[in-house]
Amino acid sequence: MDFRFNYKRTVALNPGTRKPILDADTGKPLEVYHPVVPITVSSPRKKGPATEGLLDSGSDGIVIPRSIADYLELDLKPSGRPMRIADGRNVKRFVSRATLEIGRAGRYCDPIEVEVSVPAEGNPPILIGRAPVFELFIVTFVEAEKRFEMRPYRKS
Amino acid sequence: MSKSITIDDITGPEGHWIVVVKGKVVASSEDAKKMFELAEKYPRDETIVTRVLFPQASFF
Repeated sequence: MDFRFNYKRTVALNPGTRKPILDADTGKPLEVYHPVVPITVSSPRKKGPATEGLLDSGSDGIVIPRSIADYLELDLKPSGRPMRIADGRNVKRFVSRATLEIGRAGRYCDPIEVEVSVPAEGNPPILIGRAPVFELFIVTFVEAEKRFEMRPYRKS
Repeated sequence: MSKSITIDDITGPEGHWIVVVKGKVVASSEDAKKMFELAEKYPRDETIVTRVLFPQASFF
């Protein structure tokens, strides 16, 4: 099943004032676009609500925050390999198994069994890294049009 | 056919997880678990929990 999604446009509010965060250069509300993919994450015990993950070709795998792992009641096992995060630090992590479904509005891929990494600290967004999603789909970013496409990979 | 529950535009407190029902934000919190639990109270096909990403930070 092919998917085509627009990047998500975000206008963030200052959590304290609830007013838009302004661009320092233009004075206008700061807006950014991200390639987020609609997903559902579930465990053998619980199915999460519809949510979204940030497509991140720079991440080795799938990352979810501890709070969502707790919601799903995932069995977390300490990993011997830490997670190297963007600022260069190594962070302890846990690993677990979960089920990922990609799609929305009645169009979903078959459920994918995935390993998820759960950092011991921090509150990241859900990151959809390369393994296994970028192995199962050909992901094309059309940055100029703020959209991306996902086509199932078939070995030729 | 299910209703479209994903929004392409989002406004909310920076870094918060928000619960969106029928296209409207009904709650927000830094705690994803709380928001996932709250989402259980709403119809599944009309509800999405998403994150307000940080506009002032880049992901590298």
